[in-house]
Amino acid sequence: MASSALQINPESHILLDQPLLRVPQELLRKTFKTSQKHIERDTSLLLSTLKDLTKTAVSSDDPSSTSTAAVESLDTMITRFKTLKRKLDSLHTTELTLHSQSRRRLDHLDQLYAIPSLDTPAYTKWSSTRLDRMLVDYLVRQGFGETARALAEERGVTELVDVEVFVNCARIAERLRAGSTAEGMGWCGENKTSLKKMGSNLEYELRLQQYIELIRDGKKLDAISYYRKYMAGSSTPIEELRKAAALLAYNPDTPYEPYKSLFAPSRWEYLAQHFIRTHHQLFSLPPRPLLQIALTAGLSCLKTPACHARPPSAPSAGGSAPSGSSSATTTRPTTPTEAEAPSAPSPTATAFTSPTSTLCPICSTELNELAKVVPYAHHTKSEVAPDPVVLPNMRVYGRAQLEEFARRIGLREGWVRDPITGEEWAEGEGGVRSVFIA
Amino acid sequence: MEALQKELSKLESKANLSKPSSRIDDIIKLLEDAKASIQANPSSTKLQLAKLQQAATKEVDKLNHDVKEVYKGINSYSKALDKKFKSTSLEDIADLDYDAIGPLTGLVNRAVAMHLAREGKFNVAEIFMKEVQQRNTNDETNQIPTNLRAQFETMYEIVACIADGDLEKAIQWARQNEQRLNERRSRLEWELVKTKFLSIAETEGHAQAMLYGREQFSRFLDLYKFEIQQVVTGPMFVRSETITARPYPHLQTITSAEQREQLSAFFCREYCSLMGLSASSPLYLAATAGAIALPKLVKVSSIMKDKKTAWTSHNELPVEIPLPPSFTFHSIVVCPVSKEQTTEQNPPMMLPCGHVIAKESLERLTNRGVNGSTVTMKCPYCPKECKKSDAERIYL
Repeated sequence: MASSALQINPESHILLDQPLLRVPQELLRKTFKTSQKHIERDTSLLLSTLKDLTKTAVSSDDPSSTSTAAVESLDTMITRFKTLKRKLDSLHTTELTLHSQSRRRLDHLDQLYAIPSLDTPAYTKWSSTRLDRMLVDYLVRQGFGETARALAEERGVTELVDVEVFVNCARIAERLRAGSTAEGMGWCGENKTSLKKMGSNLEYELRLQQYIELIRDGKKLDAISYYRKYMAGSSTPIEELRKAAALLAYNPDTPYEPYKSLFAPSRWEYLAQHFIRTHHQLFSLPPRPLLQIALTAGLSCLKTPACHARPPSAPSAGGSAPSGSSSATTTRPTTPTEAEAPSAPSPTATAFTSPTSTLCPICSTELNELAKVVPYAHHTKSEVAPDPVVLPNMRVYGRAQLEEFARRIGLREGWVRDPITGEEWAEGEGGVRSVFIA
Repeated sequence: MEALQKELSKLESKANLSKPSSRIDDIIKLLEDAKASIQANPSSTKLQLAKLQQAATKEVDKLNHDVKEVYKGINSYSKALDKKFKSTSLEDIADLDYDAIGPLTGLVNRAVAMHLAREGKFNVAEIFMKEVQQRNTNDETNQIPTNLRAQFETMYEIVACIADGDLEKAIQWARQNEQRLNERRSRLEWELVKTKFLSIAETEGHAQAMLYGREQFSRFLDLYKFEIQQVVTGPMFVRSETITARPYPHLQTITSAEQREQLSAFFCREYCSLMGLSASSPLYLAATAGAIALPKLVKVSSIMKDKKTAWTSHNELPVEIPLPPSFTFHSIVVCPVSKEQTTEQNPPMMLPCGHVIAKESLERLTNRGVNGSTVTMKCPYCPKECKKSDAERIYL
């Protein structure tokens, strides 16, 4: 089990990291579309202008006025193309930034492929960077933009996080909450093709809101022409269109559904949420912060029945040890700790010799409350120290661990001491018995 | 990954806007040249315009071709991305029903704030607290122990000293918190004093170290007599020909960077424990465990969706997630009969033969007779028979 538990399958391990590459790619596409639009517009203008010029030059019989007109037109064209050049260069700069961002992110993910196992310092480092990314993502989604920027800066992960995308998204959502569709419509325009591909109805929903506002203001004729212009021809299901059309017959204070909720102010909040959902979907961003998803799963994996059995700081001494002995032995620190152990301790030993439960992340103050709501980990096999033995006080330890402890504190040959209660026994005569835990 | 790297390289080297941009320079040049020719010789306007039209059409064609190249590059890069992530769609993650902590934003925020303080990112933590306060929420985010920051600052101060090879501050701290450390049965103070003794022996000579030891060791005599013997005699062997000839190879001084790091880690662990916190960031551990587990959980949930089955046990995950040993913090005993984890209510019981089963299983196996307690049962693992009263609870 140990070896499979330590293996990294990078292909599935980067499951959560898809947005890392998707966001710059989507932005890259957007940058390209913008530049394509500019180029197409200006070149077709150029060609048609030149055509017209040539035509007039051929038919005209006043060479001087022709040449003046030609120079004038050419001047306009030159200015126009210089502007195009400027726009394109600035788009190219954006593009380069996106390239280098993608490169950094690819390299970051690529590092994982070179890490042999989960218990290496390299993985710890990689995973810390991932946590930093998740934290920044969480913070910015929660609206703590300042903190997110500061953290990204301090940890040097600015190229690995998308703060601006979220800040922009939050800004548009905020405008929607404030009752303004302009920014949302603008965004829909910028991402028209992608939205169409996704089958999103965001644009229709925003249009519908503008239409509703016209009716609310009593401008029913304007509403009708708006409906004709923007809504009637859309690919929206006919029932929806009918519902919208029927709205004309109702007043904003109507008590009848579904028209009542169409007029409701809470529709703005719905639009904001709908926008955020669509936005995240477009960028392949999970609807909830990754930190939240990973944390929920992680809390569950680590949670054992013992984590909430008693207050985390309570000593776990118990069993048949005399209750008075714990206070009597407070001046006898006898717990082995491995950090300074002469031979490098195996991680397993660290895990099982913790004298109190404070080492467990679920028992720790930070997460204890939070972990209450998640399910326990599922275990089909016991996990205890290797070669477990039971002492006469019915406490179970790994044999090697007890022997090592006895050797270090210099006990008599053949004796053991309970690291937690401090009691001592001779090994034979039932002092140390093997226990079999399946 | 290689495919992606390759596609990205293509974008970087050629499929980008630099080519269209320079093509536009060409067009501008063309226009300017034509303008100059017309101005110089107005009578050639017709000819110049015809020439220009032809040349411009050609250039625009080329430009369109360049643009198409960029489009192709971007397209094949995003296709490579699709391929890379085809097995796992994000909707699967979104579909996961693991959002129990979603509504507990305050608690998550608090965990984040404590994580920032713990990692020593005090500036970021401060900005965070300010932003939280601006929002004026009255949730758990604000319920961070107020002295947490000061405590972590002290910790990092002491750690910095240890890194410089100065243990005095750490020893002072340990002495101030002697009682609580002893309650934890921590050997921190002794380890620090011992290391200091060895360091003095190495740098200032054994005699100087003995002076220090005479002053300090008596308070540890009770518990660490054997180790004191080792430590005091250890330096005699420092100049032995071969390292292995030294009787106590594990005695190390602060001079080694590795030892300093170990001592710092040990100190941080004890320090955090006294604050009721685990030694490494719980947020790190939980998020990492989650990232390890998610691929499997996603798979399970998609299988369950396909088969339209549901996991019925709501307080337990549907699958076992193998985690590295360093992610195990409690001993886990699974009853071989009921396959359930033992708990405080259903504790592990050891039969006289040494095999362990859960209390409920024991009761089920011994309750077959009319009067439960006298019935004997056969151990599920070996031929031995026993009574319910023979089994004893064990503590892990």
